[in-house]
Amino acid sequence: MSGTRKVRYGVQLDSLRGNPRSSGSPRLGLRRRLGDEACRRVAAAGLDVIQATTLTGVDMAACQRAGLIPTTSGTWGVVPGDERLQQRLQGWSDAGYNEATLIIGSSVDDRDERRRRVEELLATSSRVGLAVHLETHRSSITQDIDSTCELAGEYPELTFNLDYSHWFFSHGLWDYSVAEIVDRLAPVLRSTEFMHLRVSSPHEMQIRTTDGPWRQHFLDIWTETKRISGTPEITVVTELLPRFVGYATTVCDRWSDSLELITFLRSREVPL
Amino acid sequence: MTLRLVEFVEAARSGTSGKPNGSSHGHLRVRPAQVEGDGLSSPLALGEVREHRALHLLCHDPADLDGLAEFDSIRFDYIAVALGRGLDSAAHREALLGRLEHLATLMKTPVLWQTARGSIGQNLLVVQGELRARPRLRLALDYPEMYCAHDMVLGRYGRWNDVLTEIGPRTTTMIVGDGDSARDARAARPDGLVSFPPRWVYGFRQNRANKALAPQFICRRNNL
Repeated sequence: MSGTRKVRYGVQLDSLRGNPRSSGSPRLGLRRRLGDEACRRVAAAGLDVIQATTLTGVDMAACQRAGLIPTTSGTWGVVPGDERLQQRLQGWSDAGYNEATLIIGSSVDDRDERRRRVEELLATSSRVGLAVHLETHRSSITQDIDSTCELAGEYPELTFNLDYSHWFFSHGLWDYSVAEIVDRLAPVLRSTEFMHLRVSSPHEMQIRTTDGPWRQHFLDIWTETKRISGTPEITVVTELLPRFVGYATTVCDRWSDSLELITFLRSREVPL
Repeated sequence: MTLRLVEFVEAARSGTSGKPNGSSHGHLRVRPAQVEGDGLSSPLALGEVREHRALHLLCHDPADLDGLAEFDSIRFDYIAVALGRGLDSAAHREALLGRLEHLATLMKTPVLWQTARGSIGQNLLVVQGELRARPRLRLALDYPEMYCAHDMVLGRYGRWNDVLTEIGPRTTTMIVGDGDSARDARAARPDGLVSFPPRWVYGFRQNRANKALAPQFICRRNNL
């Protein structure tokens, strides 16, 4: 087979919140929703996808008019009372979201609990008819690389949203070559259909994309993921969180950082 | 409860691999303060550090751990060792912990397994499982590192309590100090002190109640 894998690029809406006034970032409107003008500007920047969050949303009609694909994200079983999976996925499907990513459970859930949650996710996702990708994230059932690779091997139908920065930060992956990391993460990377882009350093979860030597490391990992993923399409979304969330150290233009990261990654399209 | 304010000092890196005293992995010395207290509410008010009393090390290779015996005559309060790297196999993890546990039985100085990101002790569930399997193992719990590794700002505290209640009595030293869920001590913001969370106290109280161990808390700051 020749050609390139279908890769859709976009931004998570938190990347558009809390940017400095000087930023050219599209702005969220009332009730933190992305309206017509903002959708048009996202599309005009050459992006295909936007991803909503628990606290942000999308005007579906505006999204459609701009030709953008709406996706969303959330949590399940992360905080007390956060257990209504069927209702959540049905709500997203009814709202018109194309796919979703979920942070699930706790990093101290044992093996049986991890398996129970994955099986319920797969059953509910199938019943509702919405593709939902398990996010790799600290403080969730995917905190640990070994046990997440075990889940990937045990459930071939399970797909992932690779948020690589979490594993880089918790497992000290700056100590390893890209080849070593890709080899070890391969069971997860092969089932990766979605990626969150963020650049970390050994000491901070999120740094400016222009900072230090780490951008190259992350670009290499993301490029390798596109190469070995066994899925025909991947959605790639920047998740550059604002300072008030606690990730960024400074108020900086995360819209321009998002476009810069995507430009770099686009220049590295890999043949199938 | 004893509180010691300490400064972690990056030791010289001689490049002599395998010996903790000049390990190419480097090591950290701990200077305890002269101040004792019963809480961690005002760590900045505590005094100047004086002398080296304990040793914190990194070790990647089980064979290198034998070098710890060299330090037994110094009579450190304890030696804490962060073991391995984040992608080590289960077999390598077992080899490291088996060797450390063995040394802990041979040496007079208490030898502790230190939890840390980028080591085999980055996941508390793994730590819990290993402690169950190795009854002689004791912990030096680096709380800011665990806070980072597990993104503890998010999550269900009840689940944390279950684990901490179990591992608390096996923890003889706990490091607290700067950092938050997205930054380690080195990158901490001025307002980024990880507060001492009440949920951690429970296990330590149990520890004191059974008098099996003498817990101590080590406070690490960037700006001593």
